[in-house]
Amino acid sequence: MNLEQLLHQLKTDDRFLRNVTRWENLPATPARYADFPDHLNSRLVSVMRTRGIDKLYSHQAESLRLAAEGKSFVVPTPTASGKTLCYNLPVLDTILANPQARALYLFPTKALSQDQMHEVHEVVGDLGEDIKVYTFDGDTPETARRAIRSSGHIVVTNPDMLHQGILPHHTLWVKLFENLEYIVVDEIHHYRGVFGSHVANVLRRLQRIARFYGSAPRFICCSATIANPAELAQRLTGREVVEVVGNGAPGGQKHFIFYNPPVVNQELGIRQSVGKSARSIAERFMASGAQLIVFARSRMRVELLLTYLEKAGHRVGIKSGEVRGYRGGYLPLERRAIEAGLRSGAVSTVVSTNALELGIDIGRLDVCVMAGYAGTVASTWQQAGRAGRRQNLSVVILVASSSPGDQYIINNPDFFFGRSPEHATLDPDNLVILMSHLKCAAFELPFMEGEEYGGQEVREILEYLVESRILHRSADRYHWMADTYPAEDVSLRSAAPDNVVIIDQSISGGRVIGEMDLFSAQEMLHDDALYLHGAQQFHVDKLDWDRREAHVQPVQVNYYTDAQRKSELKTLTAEMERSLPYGQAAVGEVGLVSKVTVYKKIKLGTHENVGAGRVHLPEMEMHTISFWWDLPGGSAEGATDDTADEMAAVGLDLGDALKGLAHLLGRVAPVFIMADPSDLHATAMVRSPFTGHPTLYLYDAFPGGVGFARRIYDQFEEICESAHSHLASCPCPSGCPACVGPALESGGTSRRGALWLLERMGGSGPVSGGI
Amino acid sequence: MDLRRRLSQLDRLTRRASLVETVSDPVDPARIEDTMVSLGLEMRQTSAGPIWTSRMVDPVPVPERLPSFAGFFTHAGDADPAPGDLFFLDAETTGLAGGTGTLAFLVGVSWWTRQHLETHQFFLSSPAQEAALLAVLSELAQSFKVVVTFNGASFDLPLLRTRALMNRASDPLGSLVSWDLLVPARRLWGRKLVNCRQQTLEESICGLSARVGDIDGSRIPATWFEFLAGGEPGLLDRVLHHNHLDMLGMAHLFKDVAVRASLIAQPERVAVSGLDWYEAWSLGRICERLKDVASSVIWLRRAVESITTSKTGISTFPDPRFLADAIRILKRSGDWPLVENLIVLGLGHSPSTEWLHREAAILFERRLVNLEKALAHARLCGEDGRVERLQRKLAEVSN
Repeated sequence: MNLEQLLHQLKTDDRFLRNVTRWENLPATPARYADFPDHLNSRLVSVMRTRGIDKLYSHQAESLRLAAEGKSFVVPTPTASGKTLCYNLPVLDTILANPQARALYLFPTKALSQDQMHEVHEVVGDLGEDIKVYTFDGDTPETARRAIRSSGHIVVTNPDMLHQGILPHHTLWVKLFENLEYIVVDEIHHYRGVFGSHVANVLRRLQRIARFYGSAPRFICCSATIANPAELAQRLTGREVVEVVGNGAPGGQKHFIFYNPPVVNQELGIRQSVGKSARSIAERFMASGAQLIVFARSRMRVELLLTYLEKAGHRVGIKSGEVRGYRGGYLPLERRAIEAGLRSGAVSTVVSTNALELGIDIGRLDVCVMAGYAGTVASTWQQAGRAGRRQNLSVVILVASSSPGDQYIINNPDFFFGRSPEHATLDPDNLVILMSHLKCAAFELPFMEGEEYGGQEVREILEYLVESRILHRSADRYHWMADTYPAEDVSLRSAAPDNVVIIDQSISGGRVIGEMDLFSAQEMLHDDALYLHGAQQFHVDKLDWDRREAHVQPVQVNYYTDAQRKSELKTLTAEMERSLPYGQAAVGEVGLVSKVTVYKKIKLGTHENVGAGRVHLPEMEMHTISFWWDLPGGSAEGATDDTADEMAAVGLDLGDALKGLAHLLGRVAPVFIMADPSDLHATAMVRSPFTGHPTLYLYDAFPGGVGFARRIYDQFEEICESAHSHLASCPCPSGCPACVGPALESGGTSRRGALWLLERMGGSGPVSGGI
Repeated sequence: MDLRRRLSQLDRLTRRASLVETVSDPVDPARIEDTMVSLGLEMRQTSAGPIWTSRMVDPVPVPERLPSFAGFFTHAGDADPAPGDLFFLDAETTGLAGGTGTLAFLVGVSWWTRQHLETHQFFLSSPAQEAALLAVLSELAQSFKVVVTFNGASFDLPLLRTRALMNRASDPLGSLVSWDLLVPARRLWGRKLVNCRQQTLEESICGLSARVGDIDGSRIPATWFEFLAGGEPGLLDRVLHHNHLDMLGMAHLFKDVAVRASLIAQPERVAVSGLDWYEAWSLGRICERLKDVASSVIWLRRAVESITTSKTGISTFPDPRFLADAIRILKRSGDWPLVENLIVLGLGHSPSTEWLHREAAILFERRLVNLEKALAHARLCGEDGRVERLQRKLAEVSN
């Protein structure tokens, strides 16, 4: 059965259709063309023509126009829309006119930068000009580095290498910095949250160095579709950036199916697990001979799905080697082999985390199955873009998990198919991040008295670093004054510079099989945890916290482990406050202490709880920014209205209601602010020691915060309205994992109580009865 | 909460090692001057401001004239200096991390004046004096042709080049040819000594006595940081002393390299008894590098003689790498009996014998034309093709 026949079969399969909340048939869209502009170098035009490009897409032409005007701009277009020409044409045109000119290309990952380089190479080859294009990353051999530094016209790298390998050695790159005309930043929607805040600072440092050498480069940014590409690009680069509106590229026909797994326990509101549904759907497509990609939300899920799909593959005659996993933690060579296998067709099914969401060339596949919502509309479209060859039919299936965020999306397809409502957020002025990069910047070039950084005065921080004996002030300058290399201590990808190394003890002398940040390591690599890597189970014999090593042994058991983290929160200061229809909204600094205390053993397949154990690891302490909703009542000074009393009068319990609401908002809010659910934590108190009232907190899960809590402060009414409509339409009787959490955990009245509270926020009117 | 408290809190929470928080007042300039004077430094004005300096004269006799250093230094041929054209240099820095955040706070330079070595040290009492340091180095460098360092080609010189760029000045040593003593030291003694650190060479090669009152190199950056923060001399006297010893050591080492360079072309003039086989071997390798086959053969012969006539005899059989070099080089002399002796010697002492049997098989087959012996060795090195061919040849001969 081929793909078309399978689709036909699904369309008439009632059991399947019953769970489909939307079957969107996206028709093929025609292209919008524009001519090559007159000012474009004629040789470049003729090379384009020999490559079969007789006209430009409208967005490519617009990019060239803005470049000619000397503007920085951002191109928000989907995958495979010819966006690389939006930067390659202006850059090559500039170099042809001035062979001294230089450009720096930044891609979020090493793999991607190597991949993208080939394309420029081909055009340059056709031009027959001596334009040197090089990648510069951790894999670049020492012998090649000198030539790249002095003669590379286009240097392709990633933010990490720029941060640790290029900027701290800028004197070796004089030619590049003196003549830097363009900085190309691709996939900027990835630079949000913590990572984005770091990268914004790396770009501040880059521009500071460029200024030292007398250049003022322009930016060309590319982004997936988000609500605020220009705003994000401006936050990221600190420069005025114009948005290129409209995509002129054509698209093939695509079936986009929203699938909500069936409810298997009406009482508890439990749905069939996303993994189980995704794997049975994937299995049907595997049997059709289609090449498919399955996206899972976590490394652990990738491994679980891979184990199942390998077995499923056997049943339809697909060998194990044709079904592969792909995620961070695999070694680079292994990943390259899988990418090549996908391009050649030797790999027919790949199960991946969002690692394959980026533009790494794996060819185009036929089918994309997403086991769980990717977290953002932008990422979902990127993942969906993996399916669809040329003019052929392609299929994308989003399988929702029972989390409220997923349930919101799957039940509100218009939110997804309408204009992107997501605002990407980053905060380059997060104090932890800012201070880390000020140190790096001072190492690179002494700060002058009164020098601004990121458009603001930083004297106070510099003086603090002088007192800490990291900088030394002499005359009008702040000099780096430590026997260390600060960029080495700052990882752009995670909060903490430290990692835990995972060592397989079954190999003599031990072999490093991966690494993990400290926070995750506490949850996934504690003593006696079951760690999955390459579909192989490992038992953690010992987590040596002081040495940052986890010693593991391969095992075969029928369970996995799931650790629980407990947190305590203390409010420190309120920065801003405003009135809400009910109570007050505030945002400010909080202190948080969290600890992993216990873990559960969960049986594979049935998900039964088959045991538990205690975890003894140090507390993790953090200061961050929180939003909070301060509700009336609970105060000793006789408030006029008291939420608890009012609720009690109608048979509701405030504690249950807040607990349920925290569960709901903690998962619905990320949908609006383009955050991962793990970027944001929620907790509620019946009487907060700080406000003295019932209070619900939503806080950034990174020290110092990166702007998520502030976004919630601005958008809280809108979030409440959506949470209200989602909760009101949830089919469960009294709470389920998709809304306020299972009734057993959150208390019997929590669903009604949460609705009561959301109604107080107004606007949505009374809720239909029967609840 | 004010910014300062938040900073220290965040700092504490995000760093593993907590910072020493000391709020110190700016150091009184008079205090610094006292410290400088107590260390024997005096202020010197340059075109780019003041800098602290000292001058020392040591009795290190100047070599009469310099031999050719071809094969010893990289870029040896780019300069033909007289002894007075040499500019020795060694920098003490704020760390080994490299990059643009490391600076040289003390630079020692030396040159020969008649029978003495004259050393000048330039010391920064503040990073602001860096421009003056670069200026004074530029001025001095104009009188010399070659800058001599120890490991300077990859550390001191690029570092000063970087500092010059950051001060928008030109490379102070850019006009000089660079001779890095680490290069000949590795070529001459790298296989003989446990390591090629300067102090090891000073003691084992130059015969200088072990240093007294020196400071561990890893403590040098912190010593300067402490001085900057408080103006106290601390261990600075030992840092200055360390740099002075480095300068003296370099001059001695240079002379020892010069002795080898003057010997290399005349192996016959060296008495067997006075010769270290390691050095003869190294000199032979240098001659080979220079494509002087005749001399390299002689040096290797001398090395073999030296080993076989030494008191310990061949009981302390040398490095297998020596055997490989000796066989390779001596084969070019056509002295087959000597090559055979070496192989036999090796077979009796070397831990890995397969390659020696291969050498022997080739030697007996092609040069000494003893097919039986060649076959026996071919069998022992496990080369089936060679064994078959030799068996065929033997059969032909017996027919």
